[in-house]
Amino acid sequence: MPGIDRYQDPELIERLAAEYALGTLRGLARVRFERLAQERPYVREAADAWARRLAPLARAVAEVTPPARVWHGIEAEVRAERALAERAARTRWWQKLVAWRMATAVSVLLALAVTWYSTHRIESVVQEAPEYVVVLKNEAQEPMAVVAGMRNPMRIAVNLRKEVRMPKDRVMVLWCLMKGTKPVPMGVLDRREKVIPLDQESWDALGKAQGFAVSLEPPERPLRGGGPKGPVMYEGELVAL
Amino acid sequence: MADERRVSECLVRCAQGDQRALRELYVHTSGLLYGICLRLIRRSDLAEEVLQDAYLRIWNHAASFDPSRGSALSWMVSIVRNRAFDIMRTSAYQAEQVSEDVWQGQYASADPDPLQAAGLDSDARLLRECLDRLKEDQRRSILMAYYQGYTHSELAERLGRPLGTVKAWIRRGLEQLKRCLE
Repeated sequence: MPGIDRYQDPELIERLAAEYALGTLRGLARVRFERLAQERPYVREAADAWARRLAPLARAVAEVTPPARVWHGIEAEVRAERALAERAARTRWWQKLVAWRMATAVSVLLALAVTWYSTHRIESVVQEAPEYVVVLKNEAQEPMAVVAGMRNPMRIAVNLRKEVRMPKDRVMVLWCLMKGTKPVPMGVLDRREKVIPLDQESWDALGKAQGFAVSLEPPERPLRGGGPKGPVMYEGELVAL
Repeated sequence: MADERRVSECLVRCAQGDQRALRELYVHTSGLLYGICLRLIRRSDLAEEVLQDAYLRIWNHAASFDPSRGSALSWMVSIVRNRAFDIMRTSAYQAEQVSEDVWQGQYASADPDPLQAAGLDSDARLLRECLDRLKEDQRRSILMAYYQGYTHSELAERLGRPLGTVKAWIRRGLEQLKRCLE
């Protein structure tokens, strides 16, 4: 019912916090509760209190030494991430220098580009008829996003119907669901309209795809293969036009 | 056993980018966290994956740990459990779940109620006493949910009782637990 905020009910919050700590709150309900706890101090307090109450359960578990490969994997990832961050920092420094020299020229060009982009890009999407379309729906079967596959140039355009407020520690990842193989990660949906360029191989594969899905993934390695690890938010079948 | 102060210090150093602190943290906590993963997931390959992801997350988010909200170890445990729940939802996991009997045979340590063990601190003893005061059905479903990660419907199936009954056991059990611990 509009106007009524059910999350102000202390009994409900208490119950959700308890089931969150116990682990029986799952999937989207879990993500929703985490977001609520980020936004509202009284929810966070209830969650923390329940975590404290049940903490001895975890501490009582018998220790099992993990195989050495787990640590090697962690070490390798940390090193790779650090190298990436350093490379990104170098690029930014170089970009800053160029940007400083060209500041005036760039700002004028940028204003022009934004105007052109906003009027022409949408039109170009509309003008070219897509060859594939997927309507992504949520659990309640409401349409939440549209994916369109277009040939010139080969790309898919994703359009979220509304801004999705994400928990800070998750990103939305688009997956292509293929027959007989694991889902293929296509990209991170970090804005409402996203265009993902495709190579010939991916375009050909699109013809054999069953559909697409969107899941919530941790931001560390959102695009690694093997299929969604996080909860799936939206799914839809591919229609070839 | 992981020492809370030491874990907390390691986290502070991780937040500053000190990789030796991550190693130290791993040495002190990975046994417990892996034990928790194994109990929940009952597949060592996936448990290893969860553990690796969890430590990367801990490393990347160490700065967001807030000591005023609870213990460092509990913060790490919640990261591991959340990651495990994510994996348990995937269809690959559901299809290849190891049956209870095979699991019990493989891992003798997987007893259903580790809180029975000796050497508990005062918090754990109090929780133990309060759990003992619950009805058997309530206690069993709460422990199965926590340690084996069963959802309400999985519990209903395993215990052969209607979903509503199991939900009520858990809800009332948790309410009673809270009153007892206060």
